[in-house]
Amino acid sequence: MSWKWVLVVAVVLAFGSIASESAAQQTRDALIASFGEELQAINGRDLVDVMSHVHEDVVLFGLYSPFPAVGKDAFRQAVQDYFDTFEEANLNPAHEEYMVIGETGVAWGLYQLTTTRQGGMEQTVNGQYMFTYVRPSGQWQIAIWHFSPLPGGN
Amino acid sequence: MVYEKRGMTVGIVLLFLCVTGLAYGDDLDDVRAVFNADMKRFNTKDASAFSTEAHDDVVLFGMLSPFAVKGKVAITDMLKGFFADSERVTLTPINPEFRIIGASALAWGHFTNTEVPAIGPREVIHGRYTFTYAKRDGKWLLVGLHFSPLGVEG
Repeated sequence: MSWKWVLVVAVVLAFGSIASESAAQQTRDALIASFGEELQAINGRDLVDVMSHVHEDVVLFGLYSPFPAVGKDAFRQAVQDYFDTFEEANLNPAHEEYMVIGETGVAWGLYQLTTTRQGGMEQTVNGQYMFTYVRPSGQWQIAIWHFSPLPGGN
Repeated sequence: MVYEKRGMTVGIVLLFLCVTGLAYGDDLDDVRAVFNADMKRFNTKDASAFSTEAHDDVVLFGMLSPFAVKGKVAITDMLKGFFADSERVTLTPINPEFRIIGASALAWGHFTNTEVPAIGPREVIHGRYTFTYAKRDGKWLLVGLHFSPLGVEG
């Protein structure tokens, strides 16, 4: 094989590797963007927008029930109850981290949730969150939302 | 002739549904097997629980630290420390549920963890868990797990 062919193969492999890394970065960026959009929708109290990121088989372990909300309808009801209970609510993540493994995405970190009940006082709770995302049709969708308050995190 | 073609089409569709249904069933069985093997390891104080059939970057939010434990080595080290301080531990999943979504799998439910420490009284923790798996090269690997305690007895 002449040096020209070696050069061509090397260039093709290098481009392939760069393209693959770029695609992986885009997939990760899309996951981070999806997380940010969902958070904005929750804090903006936009139920339609919240639900647009949710998979049919979603599982929610939230802060206001010990039981899971399973499926899109149960998830919608839980979010509607959250909007109805609180006059104001602001969910702020901290130390956010993300991981993509094939078609599975995981986002985790700490959160601070500040809420004001209808006619009530402001309350702040701190905790951990881990969200699972799936990508059945090229778009990241939420499959698990799991929040756990930290002991003494009020 | 038309009926023959229709019959063939229906046959192909049924065969496809049958094959995908069987594949789904196999995946569910495989994920259950990984989950049950981890429970068995944990309950025999084997520190390789949650890391033997796990992705290198597996992440855990547990009951022992407010911070995430990242990677197989860190999880094994954490469990070694926990088991060293325990005479006996029994983690019992309650109503475990599993779901396959493409190349991702979810497991969730409630748990009771009973710990008899080397020193001190027995402690029983009730809580919720979610596990996330990703299928890589035909194997289901644990990529994320989150335990959130609901209450402590003892």
